Amino acid sequence: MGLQSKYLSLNPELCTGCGICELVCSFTKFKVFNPRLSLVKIEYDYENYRVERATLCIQCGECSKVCPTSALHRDNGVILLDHSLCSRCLACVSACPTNAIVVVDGTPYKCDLCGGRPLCVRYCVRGALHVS
Amino acid sequence: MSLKGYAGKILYVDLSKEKHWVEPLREHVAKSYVGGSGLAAYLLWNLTDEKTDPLGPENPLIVATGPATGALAPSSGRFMIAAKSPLTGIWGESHAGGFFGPQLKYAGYDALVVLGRAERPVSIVIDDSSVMIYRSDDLWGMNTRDTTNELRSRFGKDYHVMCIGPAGERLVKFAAVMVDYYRAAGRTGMGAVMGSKNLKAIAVRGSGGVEVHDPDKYFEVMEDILWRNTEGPWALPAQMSLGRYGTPNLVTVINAIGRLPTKNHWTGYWEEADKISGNELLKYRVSRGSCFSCMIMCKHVTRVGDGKYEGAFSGGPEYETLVALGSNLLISDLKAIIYMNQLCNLYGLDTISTGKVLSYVYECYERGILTKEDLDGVEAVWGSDEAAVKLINAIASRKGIGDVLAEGVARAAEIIGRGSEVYALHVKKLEVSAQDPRAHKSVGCTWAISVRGADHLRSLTTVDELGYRDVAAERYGPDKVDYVCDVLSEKYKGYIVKDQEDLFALVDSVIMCKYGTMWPPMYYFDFIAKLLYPLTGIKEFGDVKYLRLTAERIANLKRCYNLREGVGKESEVLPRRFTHEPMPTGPAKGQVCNLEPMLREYYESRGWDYESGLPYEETLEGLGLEYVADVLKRKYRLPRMGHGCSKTSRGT
Repeated sequence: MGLQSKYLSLNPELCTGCGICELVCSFTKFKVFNPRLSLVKIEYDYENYRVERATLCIQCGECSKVCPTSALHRDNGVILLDHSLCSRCLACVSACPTNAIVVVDGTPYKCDLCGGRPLCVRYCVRGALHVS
Repeated sequence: MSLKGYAGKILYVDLSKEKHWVEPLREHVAKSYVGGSGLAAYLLWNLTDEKTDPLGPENPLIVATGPATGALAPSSGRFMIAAKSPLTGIWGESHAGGFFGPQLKYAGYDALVVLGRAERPVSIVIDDSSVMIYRSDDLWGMNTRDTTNELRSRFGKDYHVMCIGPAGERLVKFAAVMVDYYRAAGRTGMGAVMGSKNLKAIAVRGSGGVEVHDPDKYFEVMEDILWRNTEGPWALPAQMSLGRYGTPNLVTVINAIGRLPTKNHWTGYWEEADKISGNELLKYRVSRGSCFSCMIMCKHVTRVGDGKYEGAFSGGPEYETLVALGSNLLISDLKAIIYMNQLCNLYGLDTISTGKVLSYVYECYERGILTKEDLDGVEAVWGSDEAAVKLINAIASRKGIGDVLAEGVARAAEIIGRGSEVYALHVKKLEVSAQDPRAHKSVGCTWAISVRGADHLRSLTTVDELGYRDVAAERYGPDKVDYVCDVLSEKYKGYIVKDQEDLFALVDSVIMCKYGTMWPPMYYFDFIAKLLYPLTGIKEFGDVKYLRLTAERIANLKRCYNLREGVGKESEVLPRRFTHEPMPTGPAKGQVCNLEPMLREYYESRGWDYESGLPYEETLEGLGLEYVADVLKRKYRLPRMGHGCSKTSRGT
């Protein structure tokens, strides 16, 4: 129990590139609508209407392995970042295999699945984003 | 500025002086005109006058977003472009979806105002506070897809691009501005205004965000938006029609009520409509897409896999295009329509105006007014896609007869003469859109009073068209429902058109999409009030009465803009076809449109004097438009209420 990871995944066939997941994420985490701050990132090809690349945290735990202050830890399958312990060394950013950690003003942020009910999934009307 | 929801800045770029600067968006301007279309109306009123040449350097090109842009409001990926129109000579305005608008806002600007004229072709490249006037001689002549690709490969794939094609460069009067490849700011020739400035493109990316006044309250609004789009009464209808088929779904729906423009609007019913239906188009669909921040997601790209148009690929065609280049020309070959749609997009041509110019030519050809010789060898027989393609090429290159047709249908008919004027279907020189006032009476009023000419997006009502009795009862009172919902009755249509014009004036300023506000009628003034206050912190915006007044202010200002140009009630007439030729076939057979009673109602509810066609001075004063009244008084004697004129009742 607790070791099995849960993570976001995307069905590219259903994604229309509307960007709502990014808006909801930045608003939830930073109280501002700004896709650049989003912890989910979808690059979309607007000429051919298809997903080019999705950058999503797969909760693999590589970041927690390199964290010198144990600010990153697994909790119920999700890697959480405790900012009170974070030394802002950004080792986690280098360790992340999917480039899913976002740095804002020198502080790293990562997807925490919104405590188990990710809002990006809730607001993805077509159900392209889901939790695996 | 302390206002939230806004970027708080307007970027000015002067192409003549090769300079740019930023001015703050003043709080009183935001409060009075909201943004988008309202803000543009305020700016254009101040920056132009009746002497301004639409294609002269003195005509500014205004690119504006609204407070909702980029802030997860419903279908709020849109922005708008305004200038004095080279096609109509009056208020010019066109909107587009896509992703460009939000990027402009994230770059830090509520609006961009382009002044002057560059000596050589240029583009404007904006990356937050960095603004570059970029030499673009090598882009001049390129189609809109190649231009977009070039700029994105040179500056970065995260740039979003609005640009013109060869049609805009050659000042075709109905040239479109193409946005993010396939979204068209099509109407009123904004592409020609860009061309006149030697401005090929604007590319933008932004790293900033939109802040919200009351995040907790705003989150409640977001939850409401989500509910309306997933569980609310309109959620399923929107997904099954607009979501599944996009606007092409309308083809069969509209044909069923006998309003599908066919053969240059000769009739409103076409036996072959099924061949160009939304269902049929699914066979060519490659993928479904959406604009930024939209839960309806009505966009699609199509490709032709075989035949003489093999390889044709573009966003759309939308309903208006399927009609303009399809039923309107009796062309039932979807492959040809997909190809022509792509052609118009690449050249940067408004498909609506293009289609209506073509159908004018076809009708003149049928009637012997125009011959094969006049048309440089083109045989413009109904149903000929070959002729249509040739004429589109001629218009975009302004070659031969194309040079005349590129002036728009009104001017072309003036030049060609020989009685052809009656087949040139326009109001105020803007070619008519894909409705018919004989089958949907309120459309007559909508077209006539529309500030940019015959078009469906300033005030089209759907409660009467589709008979939404509960919506009609809620908005206009239970006593009016029977008349309002009778699509063939003129009664109360002046009132509801005024009400819808106000709603759209606001929607176009906020800026939200017509989908969700026109159809389905999911969002009304009360929702916009709920949205705007927690977003902006402007307390007045939370008051529906204030919002309605603001909407009226914007609607009145635009009407007054046209009055200053000398274009008023005498131009609020319909082409003879809709008032004198009874609908020959289909469900609306025998109908004509009787405009006058609707216009009277409209003027009364607008607070304008029907006899003189002018606003009462009190109306303008009540809206804080004294400065507008002062200018108009130099030209007109504005009537005052209570001088033998009936007192007006405001609102509906």
